[in-house]
Amino acid sequence: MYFWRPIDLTSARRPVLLQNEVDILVQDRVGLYDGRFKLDGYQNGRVYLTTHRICYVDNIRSATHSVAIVLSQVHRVQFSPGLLKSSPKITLFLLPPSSPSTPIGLSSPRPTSPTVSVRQAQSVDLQLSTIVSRSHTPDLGAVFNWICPICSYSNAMKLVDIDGLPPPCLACGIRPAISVIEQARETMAGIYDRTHIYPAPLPVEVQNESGFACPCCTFVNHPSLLQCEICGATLVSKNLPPTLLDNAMKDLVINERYSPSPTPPMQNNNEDIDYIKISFRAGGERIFLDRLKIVLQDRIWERKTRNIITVGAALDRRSNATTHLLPKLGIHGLEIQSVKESQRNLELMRSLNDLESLMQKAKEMVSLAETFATRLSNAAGVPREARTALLESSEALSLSSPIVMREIAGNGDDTFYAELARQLAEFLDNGVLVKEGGILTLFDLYALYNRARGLSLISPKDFYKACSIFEKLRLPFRLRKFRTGVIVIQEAYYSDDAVNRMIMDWIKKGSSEKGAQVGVTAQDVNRRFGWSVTIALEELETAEDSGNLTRDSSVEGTRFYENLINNFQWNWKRDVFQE
Amino acid sequence: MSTSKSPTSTPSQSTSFPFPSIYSFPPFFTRQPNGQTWTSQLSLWNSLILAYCRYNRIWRIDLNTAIEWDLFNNRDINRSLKLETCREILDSMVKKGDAEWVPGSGSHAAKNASAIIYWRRPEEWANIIADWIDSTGQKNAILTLYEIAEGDLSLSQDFRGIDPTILRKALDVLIRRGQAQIMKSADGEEAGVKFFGNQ
Repeated sequence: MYFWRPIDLTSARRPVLLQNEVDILVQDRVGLYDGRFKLDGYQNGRVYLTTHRICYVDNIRSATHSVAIVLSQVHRVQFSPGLLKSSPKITLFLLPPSSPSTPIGLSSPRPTSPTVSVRQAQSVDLQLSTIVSRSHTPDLGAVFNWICPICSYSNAMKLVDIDGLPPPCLACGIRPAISVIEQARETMAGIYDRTHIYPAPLPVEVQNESGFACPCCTFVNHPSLLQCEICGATLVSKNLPPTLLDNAMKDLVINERYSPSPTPPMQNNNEDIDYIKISFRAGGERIFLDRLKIVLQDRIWERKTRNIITVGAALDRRSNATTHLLPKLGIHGLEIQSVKESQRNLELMRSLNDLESLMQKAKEMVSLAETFATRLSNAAGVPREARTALLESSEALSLSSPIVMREIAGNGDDTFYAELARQLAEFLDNGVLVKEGGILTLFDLYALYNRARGLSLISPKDFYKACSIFEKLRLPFRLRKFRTGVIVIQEAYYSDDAVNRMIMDWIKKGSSEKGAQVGVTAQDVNRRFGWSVTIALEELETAEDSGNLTRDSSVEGTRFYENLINNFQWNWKRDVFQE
Repeated sequence: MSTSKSPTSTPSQSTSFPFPSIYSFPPFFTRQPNGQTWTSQLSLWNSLILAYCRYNRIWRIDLNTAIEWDLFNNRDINRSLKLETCREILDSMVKKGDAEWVPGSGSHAAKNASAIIYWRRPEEWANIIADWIDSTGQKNAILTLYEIAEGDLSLSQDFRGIDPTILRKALDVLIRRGQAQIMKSADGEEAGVKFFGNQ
């Protein structure tokens, strides 16, 4: 229990997300293990994978048994498929919280985590020292080191000199590709604790015309060779799909000509590596594992700006990388393919970069809109319409709030609808329902919610299904259908009787104050309670149906009065004729 | 045929009709959608029409003209009963037996919709007439219908100015009871009625 921290939950029993934290995946029916032992009380719950943490929320005792683990503490991930009776489990090896950052470079790939080894192998021909080079001065304007791909000499360079032609290497005089400089800058900028599976920067473009650098002896071979001329190691192409690469790597391991670079091994024998397990009793472990690995590799929690686009882009990038075309016939075809491939990837990267900067600007716009909104709401004389318009527009711009998407549900629609319902509940709690006086038509809520989402809008069917399960999830809202077919969302304690009573009390009070019977229109109700006019009319008609109100139609409109007709007794023979 | 008096022009009582408080309640003039409320509303209108007609000695209601009366229009609260609602009310009264559509006018005819209002049932009228015959010693006398309704002896009677149709019905009751008999004149016209003494 050492690693699990208790967490806060929202009113809808989802974990409260940190700033910039985004939901990635939810999986129901999981259990937790600490080391080898099952944790009591943590065996029936939902696990949320976010960009920063893995949260567990118990289904039954959600208030007391909800914990999370921070992803930066995860050292390694291992997957065990289910056997006869045991469910599939994902094991997370954790660092002790006080351990210093240990650099991890390439080491022998472990067969149990194939995806991990692929990532490492993809960078086999990368300049290893690019990773190793560190500069602990992350400020702009500082000096950083880049390693020449040919002679591996470490050149110093100022950040400000990045634009323009890359400078030639001081030892061998050859200008590297721009990407070498870029990567060296990025790795320098993003260096913190590298205590886990390191990130995989795109493969460096070694000048194709000059040759192919061998992974073992770094001799630059002719691109058409299959084995290194000097040491005989198999030459592995950069852009092969992971499955082919895996085979290539296996060759390397089996041939035992592949020697790991001189960096410390991954396993620290001196310290206890603690591990925890998550057991998936209803499936969904594969996709969880994939997403977890992507998150860990990208170290998304370290980036400063976070929104859906970045996460989505990260996920998409990985899936794009796995859809490479298989090489066509002939070496020449191979070469052409690889060139085309790398060009395409570069373009993709560049366009995504633009998108990310756009999102950055959008975030500034959002914060600007928010400051205006707060300033407006404080100004007294501002008309209500302007305020609502601004709120609406800032809701429309609000891209920074994490939203539930279908991809988040691990498997099955039920989880998705449950999560959607919970997020809807939070949205309603946030002041939307209060603003509407406690009752809102389904159409209005649909419009508001989708407007606030901005992306990946929810279809009406999904929306309706999510709203229908409010009661089942014990959320404090209800879907209610009026006699005329209008459907509304209201707070659960607003039963028909309660609303009736509210209206009746208000009318009676008005009548007694005025001395004569008071009739209310839908507009009056709207002014008094804040409901929209449609809903006000519906409520009045419902009260009329239950016999509490009578209506008065005239050219002026329809007014509703207390029902005095029902109980009126008149003995006319006695009163008029004194019989 | 006696014309129905228009109460707005010649009130037959010195004081105006004492309307109940529900008369000043605006929803009373709107046809209520709620079934239960409508039932209560119907019965209240029923009573109101009967009382009003008796007070003002109205025997018939002609729908198209009656809709202007202050019975159906409350100027103070500026509310009026709609024609259709009035028709519905009269229909229910007919069903209950407190009124009767004049044959030939029909309740769904576009024009000429008139109803006779029985603020006393024919049986009651029969009893009143029989008592009057007794008390005035006109047993075994022969009276024309006109004499009964407009004669000097009936000046202070409740059935003064009674609508002939109603009178006829009352007399039919008496005939059925065997207390009266229609006398025909020489050319077969009904001329008068003879009352027998009480058996």
